Amino acid sequence: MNASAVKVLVIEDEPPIRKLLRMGLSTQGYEVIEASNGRTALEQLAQQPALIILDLGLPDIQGHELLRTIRARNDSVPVVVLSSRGDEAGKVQALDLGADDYVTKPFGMDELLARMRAALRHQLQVQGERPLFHSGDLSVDLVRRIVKIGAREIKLSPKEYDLLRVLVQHAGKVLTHRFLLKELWNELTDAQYLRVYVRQLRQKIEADPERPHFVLTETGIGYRLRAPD
Amino acid sequence: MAVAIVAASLGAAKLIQPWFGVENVDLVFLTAVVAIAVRFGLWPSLFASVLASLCYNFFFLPPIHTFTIADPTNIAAFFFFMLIAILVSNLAARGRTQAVSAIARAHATELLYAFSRKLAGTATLDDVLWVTAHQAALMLRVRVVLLLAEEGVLTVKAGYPPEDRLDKTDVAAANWAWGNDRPAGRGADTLPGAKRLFLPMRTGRGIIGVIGIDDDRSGPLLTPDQRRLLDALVDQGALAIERVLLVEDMERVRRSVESERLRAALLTSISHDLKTPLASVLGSAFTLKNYSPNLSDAEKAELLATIIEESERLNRFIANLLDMTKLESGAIVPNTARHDLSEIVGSALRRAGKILLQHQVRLELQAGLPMLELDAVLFEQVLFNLLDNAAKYAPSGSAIVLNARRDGEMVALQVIDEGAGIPQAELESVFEKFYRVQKADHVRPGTGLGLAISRGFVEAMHGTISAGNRGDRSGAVLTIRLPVPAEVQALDTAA
Repeated sequence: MNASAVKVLVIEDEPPIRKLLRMGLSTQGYEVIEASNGRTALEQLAQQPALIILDLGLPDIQGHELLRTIRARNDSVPVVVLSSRGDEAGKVQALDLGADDYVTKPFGMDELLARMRAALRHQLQVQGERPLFHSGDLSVDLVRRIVKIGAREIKLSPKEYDLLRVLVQHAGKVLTHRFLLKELWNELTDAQYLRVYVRQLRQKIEADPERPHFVLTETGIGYRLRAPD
Repeated sequence: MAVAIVAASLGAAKLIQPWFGVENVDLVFLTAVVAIAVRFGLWPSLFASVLASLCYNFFFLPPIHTFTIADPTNIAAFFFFMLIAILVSNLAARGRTQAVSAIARAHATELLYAFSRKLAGTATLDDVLWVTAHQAALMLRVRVVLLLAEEGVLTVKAGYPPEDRLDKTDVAAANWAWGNDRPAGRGADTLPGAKRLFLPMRTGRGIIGVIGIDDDRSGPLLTPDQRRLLDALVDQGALAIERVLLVEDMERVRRSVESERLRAALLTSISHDLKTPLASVLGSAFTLKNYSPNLSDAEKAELLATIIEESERLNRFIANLLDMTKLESGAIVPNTARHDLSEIVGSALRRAGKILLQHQVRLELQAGLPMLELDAVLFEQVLFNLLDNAAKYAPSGSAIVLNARRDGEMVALQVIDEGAGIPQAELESVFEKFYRVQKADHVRPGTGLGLAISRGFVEAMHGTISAGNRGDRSGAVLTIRLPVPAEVQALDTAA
């Protein structure tokens, strides 16, 4: 990846975490710009970062408010939020407000980097859709609507295929229950139906449906399709 | 009445006179006098004595039909008759008074005894106060209020009939009685203008409350007898109130000792479980910083791995403490929805992946289990805690089985390990906070919170969790039972 040009805005009030992110991201070739509060963050937006890392617990402004403002000014820049454990509602709210993904503090740098890659990749995908998806032995041809595990073709019902298609289009990204329901049912239904289709899909594409490899549950939030390695 | 009886005895005397002679009719009158004394008391019998003497004189002592007496012997007889009549009526009346008051005393004693028995059977302060107020009101036919000091302010705690307000004068009288340990209010020396009479309630240890009484009658509120009765009632009530207050005090002390013990356990746990990983992290980091040139690459990698592992342990511990705090402050409100048990099992296994590297996890989930009403986040945490526990107590390389099956109106999910199991006597206490099964000489690492949190979470989702041991070999079995939603059951029976 030619990452030397990728500019990341880190919005975080804790100096040690900022330092850690600056060092960790720099080693991966990202250019890091920093903001320790919401006001500075909004000023730094002028530098047009390619990705934003936003801590939801800032001193001067509520993280969700800042996210709303950022989205109002730039609706395409990927945002990964840092949140605390147990705050599933806060995470879902951030995702519904347009955040691309989240990591829970304390987090490992590899986890954060994976989320950032998925968010950046997704942005590129949206700009120029890739019709073929591969992850492990799963392949999905979005044009011909063919799903395969290895060489074996998998028969999916239209709803199961739709679910997989949405997951593939956002591979590596967490998708909230509400987002999936809206994409698949126009939000007219209960998350229970979604769980039923996820179970059916897993039974068809997972080697061990009880310990899924591809369709991962983000408990209390939604689902994520494992990104290609 | 006395006149009627004397008249009747006069008739009787007239009747028997022809047979027994005039000298015996006086006995008939004496009998009447005694009867009147016993039945009606002193004054009616004295009156009857005089009346009977006059009748005796008028009708029987010659010259008959005059109040004059001719025969000197008869004069003596008349005076003796009168004397005896008066003496007898006196004695008989005194006996009657004693009998009457004995009966009244026996009755009062009986009521007091019943009252004390009732008091002995009451456990709460409210009950004691109510029984006391009710009993006093009943026995003395008055209205009663009871006041106790609550945080330094004398407050109405009970009343019969129920009453919780006093006017200003009454409040002043009650407080005066409380402050001076003497009666105040109606009929007393102090504040006689108050509506009620207030009496201090005291025990050997001092004043503990005030009783206030009043009624709708005018004049003195209580006779001396009633006052003595009230004193007895108040004494018993005061003792009972003191007893209950002492029990409450003891309970408070016991609880504070208990929470002191918990706090001590918490401190031990925190200092051990926070400091141990922290010491490893700090030590490793220092070593890397200061002695890096002397370390091999393998040693550096090991120190780094220690830093990561111990930080993760610290993180789990803090998460547990947070969960416990949330549980205890009532901040856990389950956000339940229909969930597939196997999906949550899957995500818990993924989260616990690192912890379970040394164990073989086997899933035995019955096919076609109904969806359950769960909070996925809480339930995943419960499963994580159980798996974490199993991994901690069972030897590495052993198998951990996760079994789920339908059991009537419930679904039972079990985590079964191949460790040493749980001593029979500790099957319940493992769910207590900071409890850890002691093994020979050492305590296992961990917070002693995992199972306590699990129980709290499971119960919040209307399930139960219990611990047991395997029958086939050594090993612990933790069983969660969750109700199958009613509609799902209805569907089952319809199918």
